[in-house]
Amino acid sequence: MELHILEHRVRVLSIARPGLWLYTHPLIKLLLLPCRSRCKFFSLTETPEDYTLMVDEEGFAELPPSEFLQVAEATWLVMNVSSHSGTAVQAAGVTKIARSVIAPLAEHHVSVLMLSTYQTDFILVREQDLSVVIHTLAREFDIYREVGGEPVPVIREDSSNGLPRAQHGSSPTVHPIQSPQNRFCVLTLDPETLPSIATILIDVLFYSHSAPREAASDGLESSSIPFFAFSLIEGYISIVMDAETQKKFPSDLLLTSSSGELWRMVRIGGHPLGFDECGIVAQIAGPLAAADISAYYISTFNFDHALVPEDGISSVIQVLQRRQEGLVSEGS
Amino acid sequence: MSGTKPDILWAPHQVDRFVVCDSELSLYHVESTVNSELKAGSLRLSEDSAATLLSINSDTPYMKCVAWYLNYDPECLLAVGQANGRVVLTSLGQDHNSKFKDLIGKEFVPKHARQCNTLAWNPLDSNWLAAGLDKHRADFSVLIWDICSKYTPDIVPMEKVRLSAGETETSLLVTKPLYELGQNDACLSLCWLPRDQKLLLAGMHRNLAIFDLRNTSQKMFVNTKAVQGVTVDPYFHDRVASFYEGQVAIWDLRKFEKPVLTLTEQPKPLTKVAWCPTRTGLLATLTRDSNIIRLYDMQHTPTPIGDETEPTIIERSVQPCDNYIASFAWHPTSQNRMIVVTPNRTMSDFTVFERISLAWSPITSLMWACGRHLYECAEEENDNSLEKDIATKMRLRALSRYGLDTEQVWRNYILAGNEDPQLKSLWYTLHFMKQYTEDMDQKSPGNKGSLVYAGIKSIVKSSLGMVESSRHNWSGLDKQADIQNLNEERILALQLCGWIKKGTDVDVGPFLNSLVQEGEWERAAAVALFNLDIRRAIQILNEGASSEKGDLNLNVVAMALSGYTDEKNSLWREMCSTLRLQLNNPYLCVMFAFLTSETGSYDGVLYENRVAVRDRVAFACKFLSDAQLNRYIEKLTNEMKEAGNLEGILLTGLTKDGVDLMESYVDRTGDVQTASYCMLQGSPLDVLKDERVQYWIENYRNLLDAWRFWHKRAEFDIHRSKLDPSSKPLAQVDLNQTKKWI
Repeated sequence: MELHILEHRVRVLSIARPGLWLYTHPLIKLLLLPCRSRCKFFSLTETPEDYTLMVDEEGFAELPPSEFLQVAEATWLVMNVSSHSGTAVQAAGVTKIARSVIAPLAEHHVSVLMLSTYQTDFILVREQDLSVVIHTLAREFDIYREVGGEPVPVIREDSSNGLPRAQHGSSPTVHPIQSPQNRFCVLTLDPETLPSIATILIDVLFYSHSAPREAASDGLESSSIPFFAFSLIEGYISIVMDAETQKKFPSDLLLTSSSGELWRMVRIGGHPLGFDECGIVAQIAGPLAAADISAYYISTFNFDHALVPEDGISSVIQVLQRRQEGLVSEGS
Repeated sequence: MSGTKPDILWAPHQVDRFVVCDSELSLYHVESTVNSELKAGSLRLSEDSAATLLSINSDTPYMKCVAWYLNYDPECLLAVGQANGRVVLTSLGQDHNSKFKDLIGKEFVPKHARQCNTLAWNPLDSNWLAAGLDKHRADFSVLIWDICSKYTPDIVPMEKVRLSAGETETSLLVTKPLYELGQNDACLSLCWLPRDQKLLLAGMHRNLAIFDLRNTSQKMFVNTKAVQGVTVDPYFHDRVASFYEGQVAIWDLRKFEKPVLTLTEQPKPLTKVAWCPTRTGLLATLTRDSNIIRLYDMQHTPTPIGDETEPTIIERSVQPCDNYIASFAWHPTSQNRMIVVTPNRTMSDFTVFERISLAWSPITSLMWACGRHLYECAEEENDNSLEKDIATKMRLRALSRYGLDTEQVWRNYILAGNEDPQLKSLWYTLHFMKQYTEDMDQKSPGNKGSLVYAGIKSIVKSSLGMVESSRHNWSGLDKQADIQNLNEERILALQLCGWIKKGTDVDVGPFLNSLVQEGEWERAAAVALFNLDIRRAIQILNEGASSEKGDLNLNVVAMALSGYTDEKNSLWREMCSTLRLQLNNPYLCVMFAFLTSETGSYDGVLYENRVAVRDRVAFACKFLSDAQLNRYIEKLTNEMKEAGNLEGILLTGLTKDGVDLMESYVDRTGDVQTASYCMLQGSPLDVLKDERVQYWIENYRNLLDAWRFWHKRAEFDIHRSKLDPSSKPLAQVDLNQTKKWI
């Protein structure tokens, strides 16, 4: 297995809904005119609370500061796992890397963000945690750091000095989960046909929602929520949208699995999760991996989101609730 | 290809057909227009060809790539890779009853839709089609389809396959690939390795990978950015080209760690790279927004012998049209032929001209190669011009051991063929120089020996400033001047000229006798006259007239000569000074010039170029004052140097001046043989070290090698090592050592 540390240096930020108007110009530029900027990593996720952006520094430079813009302190590095071996089809997505990446990082108290796309899964870690990450993962992976587009092998320093973090800290906080009623699809698009859906995309992203409802009722049976994720990373487009929203787009341009599978969401966190806590992804990914359920995972500024196959939602909720109960009972 | 930029493909078998693809597929037929007019509706491709549109197929939208079925197919079966990753088989034929009718319309559907980047038909199993797709997190990017396989309903449940309208013929959908490779990766380019049906080379997201279908869990890969457009050299199956932005990398699959070569980086990104199918090692490349095709001729021969080393890669470019080129395609069989298409779909059909390489053989034939043709140009055996060629002459002279007689040095002129007066003069000069050097060394070792080889110019100069020597002052025949009044230097000069023999004997008699013997009566008479012996001159002329080979008219000349009078205003003088110009023989001419000259003015003799240099110099030594003599010698030396006349070696000797003279001789004639032997014959060390001299010697050795005259080469090397102590010691074989080895 190879772990590639990519060249992007990513900032994570949140645009409050009322301030969206201030950012429509740079967002449309980053979204639809990638040739006009040097931004190579762009992800925009609409949640009921805000618009979360993950952009590299070139993209970040396009966004003017304002009272509506919250920026997470750290600079994040993007990692990507690729397996050169085998034809064995494993459960896709975060579940695949849960054991090998997410769990060890959680043990070493490294806070991670996840961004799943149609094409792959990106793991984001804070730049200052890099040495811990390398130390932690070097046993499992051949680690390469991309420099000027060429992968350069990272030599692992054997000394474990400077790694004072405890192997096992206190049990992590168990975050509540909820599952909105929406059914989502995960799609991609030929970048060349992006202009032909541009107006629909702008409409869906910026204009189609009524004022946000009072979301985050703590019951599991919450109704539908507005959620739309668009990413344009290294020239590849990935979109996660509500199946209802998809009907607004011409059917022949959006590309997805031939099975046309649909996904349900598990939303993690009762109150904003922050960036310091570690093990959040692990507590979701771990049980899913154990149950061999494939999933997409999208972190945003406030909450995390996992997408699981429609058929599997009830068992997922069961699995995750067991976790909750288990941990709570353990903790008490 | 999609949208604006058309691509172009030649049919692999029907070699007069090609397809242009952009949003639709257009099949064209190429016709020669050499003997006919351009048909209505035809598009001109070149001066002698035109294309006619046969059919258009717009069944397949969102085309990303197209590949032509490799087996012979009358229906033009094509595989089209689409933006959604599906591969569709389509055709441009009209005959719907063909054996391919079951295949047409067949679709190969990946589990997860994403762009199809590339297609490659297997060259060995014509039913295998590899498709390279973009990345999907849970899917494979290289799918190998068997186009004859049937739809397999158990793989994807029917109700889950969301079919768009018109796809009701489910039997045309294939969802189960033969092989799936490259999980969670992107495939940007593909080609099958001709070595084995089951080897596939793929340009993946970050590496080039060789997949072996016999064991799909294993692959060989190398990390690189150059993953676009992988293509195998059709003539050298281990050589592969790929590119990244403006850079082409050439790989050797036997040493698949890093590129063996990278080509000069282009400022604009490359769009296509293709090996010429009809010519070895020729790679064509195209960049974006460019109207030229760059060609790289890759020679994998090691450095050739000699100094004309060619670089390993020769870069050229062709500009087939003024517009930017969208794509190009080599013709599959026509040598070096190519077709290009521009964004506005104008096309141009042309042939890339081969570089002509040309080589002289060391004998006299010339050969040149152009493409697959080899031309030899040899002159006919009995052609005279061949004999005049210096290469032929040198070869014959080498066979006759020319230059190797170091005792009777003059004989080398005989060995050279006894026909060239300059060579005769040269070897006599060298002979005399050798003789007098030895002579002097015997008398007083280390005295003037070195001066002799320095030539008359130096000898004469060395006497300057000394007491003005007495000399003949021509005022009449009665004043018998005494040759013994000449100083030592002038005597040495006369000796080198051959007029007098060595020793103290200053009589020209023996020289005259030898001239008479050789039948050179006119020259003998002139020398006699210049030695103020008019009677002997007349006698010699009479002798000449009466001899068999001689000319009867010499008697008439003798008569005229006998009428000599020193009366300045005589009729004799008047007639002779005008009529002498009508005499053909230069020696007869100068005799009368001498007799009718004003006192102290001998230009008629000194500047008669047809008279041998040695005779004119001897004459000058006898009759000019020191200052005049110096000026004359200086002037004549320069003339000789400029003309590269070997007679001038008498004046320059084997000095730097002599090398200059020899340089212009070699420039004029190419005769490095004479130059080498001459310079080895007694030049001082600093002259031998002159790089020009070394160059001639090396060239002559190479020439001997080229003629395969190994023995002559060895002989020359021995000769050289004897005469040039600075030359490298000869390679020697220790026979005892050899025996041990054996």
